[in-house]
Amino acid sequence: MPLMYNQDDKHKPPAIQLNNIRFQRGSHTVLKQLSISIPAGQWVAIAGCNGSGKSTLVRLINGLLQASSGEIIIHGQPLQQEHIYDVRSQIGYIFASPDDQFIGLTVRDDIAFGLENLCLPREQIEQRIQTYAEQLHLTELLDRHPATLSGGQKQRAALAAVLAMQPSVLILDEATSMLDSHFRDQLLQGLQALHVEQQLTLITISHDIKELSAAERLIMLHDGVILADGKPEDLLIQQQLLKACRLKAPYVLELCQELRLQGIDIGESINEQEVLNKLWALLSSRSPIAIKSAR
Amino acid sequence: MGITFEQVSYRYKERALKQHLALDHIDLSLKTNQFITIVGAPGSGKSTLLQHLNGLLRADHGTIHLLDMIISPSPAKLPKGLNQRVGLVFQYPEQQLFKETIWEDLLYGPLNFNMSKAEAELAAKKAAEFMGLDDLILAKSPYQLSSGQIRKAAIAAVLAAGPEIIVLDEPTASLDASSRLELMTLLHRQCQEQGRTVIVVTHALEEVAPFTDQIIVMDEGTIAFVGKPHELVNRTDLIDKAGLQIPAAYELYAALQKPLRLSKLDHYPSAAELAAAIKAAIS
Repeated sequence: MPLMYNQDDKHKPPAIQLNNIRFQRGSHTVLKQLSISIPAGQWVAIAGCNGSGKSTLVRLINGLLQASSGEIIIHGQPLQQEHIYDVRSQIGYIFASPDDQFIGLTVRDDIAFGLENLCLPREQIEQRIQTYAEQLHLTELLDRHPATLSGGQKQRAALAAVLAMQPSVLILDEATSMLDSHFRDQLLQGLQALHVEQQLTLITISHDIKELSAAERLIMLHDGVILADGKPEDLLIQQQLLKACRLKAPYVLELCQELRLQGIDIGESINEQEVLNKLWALLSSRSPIAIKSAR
Repeated sequence: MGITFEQVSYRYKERALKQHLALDHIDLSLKTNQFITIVGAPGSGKSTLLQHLNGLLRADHGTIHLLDMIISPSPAKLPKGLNQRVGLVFQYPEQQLFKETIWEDLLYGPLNFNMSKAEAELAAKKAAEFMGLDDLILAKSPYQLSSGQIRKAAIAAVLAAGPEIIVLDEPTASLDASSRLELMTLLHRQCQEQGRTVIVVTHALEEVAPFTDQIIVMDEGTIAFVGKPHELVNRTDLIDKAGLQIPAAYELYAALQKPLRLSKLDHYPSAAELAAAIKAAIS
């Protein structure tokens, strides 16, 4: 029985509702009777090893794939062929490999493409290009061909093009994998701001503990089923879950566990400052209670 | 034998929009049989430098001494055997798999480098085993694999050709965290057990720090730093500019060093080592 998310937000209408979703590829069942409800404005992270069904799940949500059975409801509207375009226009999707989504000959054209399809006035298109180029530090790169950009620059360009569409749901499928830590941190802060200010519903797939920790809720997938669904800080300290999802325990958690083996039990945490604070407290008190007998 | 760049410069010409000097009179001397990491901000020249190592890009000026080979600017011919001796794994590995099945892709390099069919099959099998690719995956088309599996297949295809130097551009992107650690451990073993040189471009210092012998920081087409990873920790100017995050091991060690009177850091401290040092200090 998976750990289930305590839905504090259950009074909010779900932005995304998946009921008994199954997805079959050939003889392989990629997703097995999955049911998930994501309230509007929630930030959900999805973790799991390669091939666990993460990308399949989010591709079902924006209609890139069609479920073998089950029902998907987006903002109260069943995801069916006749209004797939309406649904897609509300969902921004950033692929793991940004090359998969470039269309324009320059970064500027690429950001403009989606906006032109929304038939926005030229002035508004220009304004959005400037806003999102600035936000993602792309102003200097607007006239560059996407193919001439580095991996990190490409991912920021792809992100700008999607954010400019101002979707109500944003899906990032390992979209920060090519970003350096500064841009990733900036992006996470930017997403946090968007999430809070605009009530953006966020779904992020990642293998990065820091990125998974930034979300409000973490769903851990394993072999097409939900292994755990809860708060990241509660799930990411559980070795069994980390192992099943092939996540690497953060160094600070490893340190807590090694300290316990050395007879020093300060609990378990993925927060460096918290661990340091506990060690300070221990050092200043030299508390005999906190230091257990060595193995 | 080592790897030496002497005043190497390169400017992108064919791409009208990328005309800055991508490599700016680079002087660099590296030992072989090491795990070498290259970091730097986007556009600092990391990938450009890598592509000079197997002749994919040719310097406008300067000379590269690679093992016992010399790579001179065009129109001089590339040294014989360069492509076999230096294997390159691209940032997007799907770009380098082109056969109908992964197994055929793994055979392509060895056969192309004149191995017999039996030798090629043995090399491909060893590389597949090393990267954890089973028969089921080997029989598939690259289009049927997940991004992580494609990356492993691309690396196996390069290993099968038996290069002395393996060059990888962001090898862990799109791999799950355990696969990242596995890959780095496997690559490190290639250095230690097979005597190969591994050169990795990355921005994830945390992943490579435990394995790295030498780290190079690039900045606007120049070499800003060469040294051991722990020597880089105090260079906050470079760390900030390169967009790096100091690994938690170094951060925690630095925070605990003074109060616990820990010895000066001279290597990457494992969690077990740091825990033992904390235990010793507070006992």
